[in-house]
Amino acid sequence: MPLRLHEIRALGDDRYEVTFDGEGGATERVVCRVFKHKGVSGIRMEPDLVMTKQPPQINSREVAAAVLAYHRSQLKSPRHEQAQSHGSCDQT
Amino acid sequence: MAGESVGVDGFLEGAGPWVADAVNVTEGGAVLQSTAGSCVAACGEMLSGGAMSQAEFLAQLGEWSNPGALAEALNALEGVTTWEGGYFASAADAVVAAQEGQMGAVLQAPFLPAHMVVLEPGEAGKFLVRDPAIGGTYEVAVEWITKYVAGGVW
Repeated sequence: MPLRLHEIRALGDDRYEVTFDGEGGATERVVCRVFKHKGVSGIRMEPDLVMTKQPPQINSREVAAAVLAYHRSQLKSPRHEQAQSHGSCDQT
Repeated sequence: MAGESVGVDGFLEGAGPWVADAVNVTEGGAVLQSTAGSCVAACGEMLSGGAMSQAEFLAQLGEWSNPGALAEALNALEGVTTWEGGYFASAADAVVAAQEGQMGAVLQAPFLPAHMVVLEPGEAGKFLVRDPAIGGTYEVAVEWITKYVAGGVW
């Protein structure tokens, strides 16, 4: 996939800013919201990088897994409140 | 959002590679997408039980829409928060969601645009797919879901 996950940063309210690195130094940013519905966890991303006219530049399962893992690590953190607004996770 | 042709004449002309891994491919039983980018709108008509047409979803969502937007449109139509839309972290989660009942499933295959179909539990552990790219249905196994379903509306 041409876009590689670079960083996840907590925005609060189960929302995370996800930064991707592309070819030639290009970057792409999306906001992901974590949710659980009918017992299944998922992420919604804005803008959506999967359902586009062109083939997706990301592996959505890898992105969702990374964001959900980071979300769970934030929930387990004793400094959860601080981490929600200031936390970040460098994927590189 | 339909994938490349599998080289079959007739109604299978617009089929993605996921159709080749299915059985009992049948014409009819699905809303045929009206434009190349209206698979989400066509799935909206099917998931709403025809309460809203593909044309109405298309006017609201536009072409090349996504599961999050469709979930919001369906919730607005039904007046309750029945649907959520997004992407799964694992193949196992995709299977669990599919087993819960009818869903709109986002299919992803390498080097192809993603595509949305309606997926519902069938008989003997199989699942029925209503594919707007061909306006037809087919049956798939759990392995098909683990291979292709990246997300959806459930």
